[in-house]
Amino acid sequence: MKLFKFAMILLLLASSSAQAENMIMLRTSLTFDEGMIMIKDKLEEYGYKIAHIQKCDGGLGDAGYKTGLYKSVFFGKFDEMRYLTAKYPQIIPYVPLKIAIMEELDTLVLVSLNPSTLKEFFEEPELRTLFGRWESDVRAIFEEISNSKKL
Amino acid sequence: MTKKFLIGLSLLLALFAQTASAAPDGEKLYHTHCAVCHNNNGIGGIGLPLNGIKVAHFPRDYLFKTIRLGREGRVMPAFDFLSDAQVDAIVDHILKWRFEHVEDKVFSPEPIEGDVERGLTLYQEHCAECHGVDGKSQGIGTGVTFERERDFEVVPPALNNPGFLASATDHWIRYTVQTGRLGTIMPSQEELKITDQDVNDVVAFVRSFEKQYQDVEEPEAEPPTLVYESPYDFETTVSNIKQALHGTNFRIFPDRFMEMGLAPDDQINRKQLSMRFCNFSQLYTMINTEPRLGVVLPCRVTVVEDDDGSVKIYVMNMRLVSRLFNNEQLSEFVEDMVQSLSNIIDEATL
Repeated sequence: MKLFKFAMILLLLASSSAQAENMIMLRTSLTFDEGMIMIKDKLEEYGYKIAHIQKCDGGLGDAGYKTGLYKSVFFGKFDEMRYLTAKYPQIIPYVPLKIAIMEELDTLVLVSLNPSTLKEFFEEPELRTLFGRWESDVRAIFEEISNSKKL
Repeated sequence: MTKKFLIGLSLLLALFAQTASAAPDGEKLYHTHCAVCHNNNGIGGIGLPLNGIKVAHFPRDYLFKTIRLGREGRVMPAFDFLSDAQVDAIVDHILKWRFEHVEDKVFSPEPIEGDVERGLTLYQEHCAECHGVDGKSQGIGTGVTFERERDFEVVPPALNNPGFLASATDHWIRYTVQTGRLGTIMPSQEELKITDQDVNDVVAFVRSFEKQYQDVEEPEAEPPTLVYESPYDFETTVSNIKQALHGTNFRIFPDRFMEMGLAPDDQINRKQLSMRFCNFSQLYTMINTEPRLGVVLPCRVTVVEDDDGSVKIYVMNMRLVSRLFNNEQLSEFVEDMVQSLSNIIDEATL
């Protein structure tokens, strides 16, 4: 009976272990404005452009809800976007890529869905290679932001 | 002889220094794997606070197993890729934050006998208001939030969680009920005015949640993207979706062509239009439940006209994507959202 229980618990827990890398996350002591500037600069260094910024905090505040600063940065590459959406239209809801940036007291949390997680959803080799590159870029960008000095 | 002894001693010291320097650095590991949720100094955030009087309560074994096993459906992943030495080092680092020196308590792994039926009655009377009738926790989300309002300052743990029950021994659960939790609203046995037998019965009831575990079913295979054919032309489809959205509680954001912002306006494809909208009441609850939700926000449907003139609508399959968050509560909220989106598309493509 004990063995059965143990096996059941291990089985249940196995699903959470796969979750570890679904998100790429960073906590930094940069201010919100510094974080936004840093994201923009680093994305540009890696050849991406910010398509737009969704002000989640603004909408929530206008609707009367208390919230700290919270924005979503949409970014991509024009040529890549045009090619992908034409050849693999199922990718449309997943692009442009996003980084959520949120305030927590005097720190910032940056989160991105790990692009390689999309390999679970799309089996085309060309896409899977691309997801790997996107992951490597996002990780490098977060690493560089993490190592950056305050402005 | 002395020379040989000194050489031998030097070699031993060098070997010791090498071993010591190879020992895992708990602080570094904490900052790599834990700080993003539990904060740099353990004050909490997406994850629970781990500092001061909060951590004083945790036995080393409980922390070790929690890191190793995670909390299925409660955001905390299982760090099964770390070595025992690395997990130990992280535990050492966390335990340095104890508010005051507390000796490590070691709790027996032996089960505690109790009357589950009596325990249920006592649990419903004294515990369910915070931990939930079904042990799933009454709190929205996990950890703490500094930037939004919540019913609980610290979200009560889900006592029915497999990770919790595998990490907590009966004797530690009993100790927790006896002492309450400093720094939270959880009262002690004395404050609750319950007997030692009552406490054992509550422990037996909490342990009985294990019997509710069921085989994990492989979720049904679902497409990542929901694609709908529209019987209308591009402009009519867009107009129909807007009309359908007006009948809901969604606030509609300005339309955006997909390539907008990535190229000069005269180069962008005007037959790929993203329509974005948000129900802020729903968003507030969902972002409290899952602060990382911004990586998939806002709600969006994209209308595309293909070269042959056919029109399709593309929507992210949130039921599938929500599983990536390891957050059971989010998945429950998402069901409502999926239904709302489905209704909108149905109305627009009738």
